Amino acid sequence: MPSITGRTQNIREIGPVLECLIAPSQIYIDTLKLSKDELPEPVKVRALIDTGASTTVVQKGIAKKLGLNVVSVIRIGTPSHINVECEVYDIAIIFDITRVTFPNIMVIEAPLEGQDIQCLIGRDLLSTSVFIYNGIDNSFTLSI
Amino acid sequence: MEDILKIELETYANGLLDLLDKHEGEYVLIKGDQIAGVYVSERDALREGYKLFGKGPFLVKQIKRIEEPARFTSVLIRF
Repeated sequence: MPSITGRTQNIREIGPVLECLIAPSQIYIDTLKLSKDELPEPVKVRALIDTGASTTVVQKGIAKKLGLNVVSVIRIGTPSHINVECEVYDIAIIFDITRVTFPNIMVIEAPLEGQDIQCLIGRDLLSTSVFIYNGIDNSFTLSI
Repeated sequence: MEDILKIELETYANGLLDLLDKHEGEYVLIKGDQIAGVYVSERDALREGYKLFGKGPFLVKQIKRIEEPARFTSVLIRF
């Protein structure tokens, strides 16, 4: 089971944050028979592992940068809004340091503002992972 | 949000009772006002969507009687 370990100076303040790349999904690449030259450059993001998010979210505009089209729509509820319709995209998430990859994941696109975070890794992705938060050591480990 | 899948969502809503009858829990693939197919897995529906309609857009949706909204406690999401 491949693992990613992150460590910060103050995990309580910053949270479990890691660098990721967002790219088209493996199903998209394989089915459309896209060559490397036809693939867009992956988008680098700062991601927060968020156990309060039922689904993974990426910053609005990332799908457009990758040339992806919407493949579904779902409603979401946040502390300030209920039943907001959001577009869903089919992507891959690559953890930058280890190259560990989730090759096919359906994510919501929504505006993320205020803390230089462009991706929330939600419980959909965590449902197939082991996530250890070590507050004493200011570290976290995600095993996939 | 733009009304980019408006017709597909209307097609889903109009066909929902029939879809629930035979395919509850499975995944429907819709383009425009046409139901292109129903699949056991979301990945199969996506794969077929790319085969039939290229890069899209198209709608893949799990067939559910009641659709609960996805929940977020984060205040980072701002509309």
